[in-house]
Amino acid sequence: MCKKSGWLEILGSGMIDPEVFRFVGYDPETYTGFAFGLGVERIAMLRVGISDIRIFFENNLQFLSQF
Amino acid sequence: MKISFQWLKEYVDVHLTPKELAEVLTHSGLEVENLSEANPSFQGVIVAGLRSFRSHPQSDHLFLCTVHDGRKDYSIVCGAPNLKAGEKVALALEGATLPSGIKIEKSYFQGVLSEGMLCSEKELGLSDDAVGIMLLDPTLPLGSSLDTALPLKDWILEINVTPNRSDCLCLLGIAREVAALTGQSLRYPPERVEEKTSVTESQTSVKIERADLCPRYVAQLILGVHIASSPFGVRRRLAALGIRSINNVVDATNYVMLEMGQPLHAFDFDRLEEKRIVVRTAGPREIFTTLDGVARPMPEEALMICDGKRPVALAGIMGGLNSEVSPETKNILLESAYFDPMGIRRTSKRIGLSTEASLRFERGIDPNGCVRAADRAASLMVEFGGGSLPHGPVDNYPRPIPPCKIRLRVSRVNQILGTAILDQEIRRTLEKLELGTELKEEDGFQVTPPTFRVDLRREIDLIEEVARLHGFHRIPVTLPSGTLSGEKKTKIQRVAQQAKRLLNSFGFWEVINYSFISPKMLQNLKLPMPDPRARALRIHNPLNEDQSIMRPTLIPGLLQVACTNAHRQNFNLKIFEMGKVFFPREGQELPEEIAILSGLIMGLRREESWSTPKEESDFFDLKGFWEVLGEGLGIENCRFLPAAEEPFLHPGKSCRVEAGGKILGIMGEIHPEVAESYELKPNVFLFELDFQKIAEEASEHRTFRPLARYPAVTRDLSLIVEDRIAAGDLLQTLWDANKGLINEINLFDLYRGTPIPQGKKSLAFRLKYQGEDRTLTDQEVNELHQGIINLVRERHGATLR
Repeated sequence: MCKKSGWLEILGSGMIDPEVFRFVGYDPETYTGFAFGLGVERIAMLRVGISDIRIFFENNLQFLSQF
Repeated sequence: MKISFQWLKEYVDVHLTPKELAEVLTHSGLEVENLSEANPSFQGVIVAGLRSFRSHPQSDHLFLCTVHDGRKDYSIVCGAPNLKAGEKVALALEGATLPSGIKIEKSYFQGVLSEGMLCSEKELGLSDDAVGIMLLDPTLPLGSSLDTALPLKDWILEINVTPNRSDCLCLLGIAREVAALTGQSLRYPPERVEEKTSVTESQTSVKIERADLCPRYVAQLILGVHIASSPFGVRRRLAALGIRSINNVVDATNYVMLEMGQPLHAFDFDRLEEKRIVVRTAGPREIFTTLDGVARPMPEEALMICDGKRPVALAGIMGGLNSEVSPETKNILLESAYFDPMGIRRTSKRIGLSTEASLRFERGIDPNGCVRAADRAASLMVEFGGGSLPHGPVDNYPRPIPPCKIRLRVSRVNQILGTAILDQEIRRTLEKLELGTELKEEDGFQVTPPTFRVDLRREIDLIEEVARLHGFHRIPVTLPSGTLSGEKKTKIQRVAQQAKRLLNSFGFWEVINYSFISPKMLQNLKLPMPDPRARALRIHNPLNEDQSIMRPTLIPGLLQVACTNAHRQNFNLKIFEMGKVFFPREGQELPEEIAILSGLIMGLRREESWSTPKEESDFFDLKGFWEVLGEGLGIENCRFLPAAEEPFLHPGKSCRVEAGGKILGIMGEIHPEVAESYELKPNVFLFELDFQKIAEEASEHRTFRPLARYPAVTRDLSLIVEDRIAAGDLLQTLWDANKGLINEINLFDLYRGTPIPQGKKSLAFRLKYQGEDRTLTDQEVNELHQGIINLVRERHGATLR
């Protein structure tokens, strides 16, 4: 994950492509929209200092009891 | 894609530091993932001229050289075979250091003083060439420091080129971006001067049998070359970008590919049968040996470049061994073509071979760049290896690719981006990227993107270009405004929240497991085939076998958590999971999803302490937790029915849970075999309940029951019944008989053993008789009590103890 550049990607976002609107039946000339997505685990990792994302799915009591 | 900062500056003036350039590129969408400095690892080496040399009197392989640095002469002893008077050489004098760590000193060789050393490229750490000393470009100034004269100091930028920007897989593409972003002009490499000696067309021809797979094929001849190694500068640039140097001709093709993005291939013209090119697909069971020496069976529809008789290259991917350029080659046929991206991708995937060339064809190259690239490479070949260029090339373009015209509305640009960019600025921006812009009457332009921009097809793509060059960081920050609808949580959401709170307060930890599990996990539960859970939904393209089916139960996940925790010495566990399980639906693609609440307890009831006895959890703990949870969720009429008959539970120690007449699920002690397969001791207890049904039975509304005003009478009742009679059934009977006058019934004892006969057990109940409107008389209570004794004897054969 760390590219050692001093920056870490935490979310992607942008304007919804008009083709996507057409696909689901919205007229892109009438509607515009934006979307974003972030990984909750990653944000939690950054906020609290967890080192490995797999820890979230191990369900080790030593981890669960900390929060 | 790696680029060299020094090389880039040949095509655009850069007034930024490498770090600043990296920032600018990253912000425009070409993320620079790594910036590293490439420094020469020698010091104190200068450019010198070799005046003369003669043999060393005492040694037959050493020479005495006289070199000068523009100011004075030096005597150097040297053993290289390639000394030539008048050449410029790399001179390391006393005090200089070489990459190997050697520090140069004056020393004697067979009695003759050498004031320094003439270096090979290898000794300078510049390449693996150690055959002779490095011969320098004659224009380099005498006496200058070698690292500035060459120049050697460089920075390598590693750019993450997104798949849509095939135009940026070359230096010119990046340079064009830099020029647009910094307001500079792009410098294309020089075009060659035509030599009208002979004509390419009269010496070769190109036949394209599959124009759909090869819309354009350009062939240029280079005659009478001398194969040798490329000039140092070329070799260095190729090496900086990770391409190995082969010889001057092959290097020229790679150089132009890196420079312009057009993959090229050089054939030994004399090894082409009938001296012509035919572009066709592979025949059945055709085997071809690529120039890496591997004989490969060709898949159907693989495009092959052939001569008059046989295949000589795997189009767009790799050349053939039978036509490759060797040190003896004299004449070259240079291929510069446009291959259909899908065709190349298909063949590349089928063969499992991917190259710098195939990557670029897959992403889409410029169909109008073939001739220019062929010209450039041919000129370089003549420059590096001599020879002549017939007037040409042969350009076979059966399927011209038409340019795209896109309507761009200025109002739309600002609507999408939330900006107020003016028409003129938009036009200037697009023109900086070489997009043709024509004014339209109302609101906007007709834009014609150049053919090297395969990613610009629609208005929205152009709007992205405007945003990119304008600078995303310059788009003003606002917040959307409007009314939000405030929705309440649904009932099942509220009940779920309450259930989780209650379980937490009982000491349960919530766990989350993956929805995809391995078939082995279901096998470990010993589910028989007819069980719907044994026929779980299989995923088409699982990441691996361990995540190949959608879970029909949460139990395996919980058991795995118990196992992992046991391995980490956490032996006392109370966990629950609330999640979805999945069942395939007949004739439907999407599965049925059911909300489930499952839990597991293991080990001691509570952590050891001096004030409480050490107790192991048991089945009744599970029952107890459910009863309190049910009460907390307002579920009435809870019943436990014996024998859950689950293959993963202990046959005698399990039950079904019922509420409101519906079966909610099961609970019980783990089956010893299942415990073993998870490496657990048998003290594991599980429950799995349908949460949808729980939520339906839950009531959030409580009604007050008036308090009793008259004293109660407590009577105990000890009954002996056969073992197989469930306490719950007895309890039910007692309630049935209560006639509204019993407030509470508690089971407080269970006893087996003497004096109770074998096969029977003793159950003791405490009954609390209470009237709502009067104090009950002894007589009334006795009558009631006797009636109850009669009923239980009738129904269950129970006798008084």
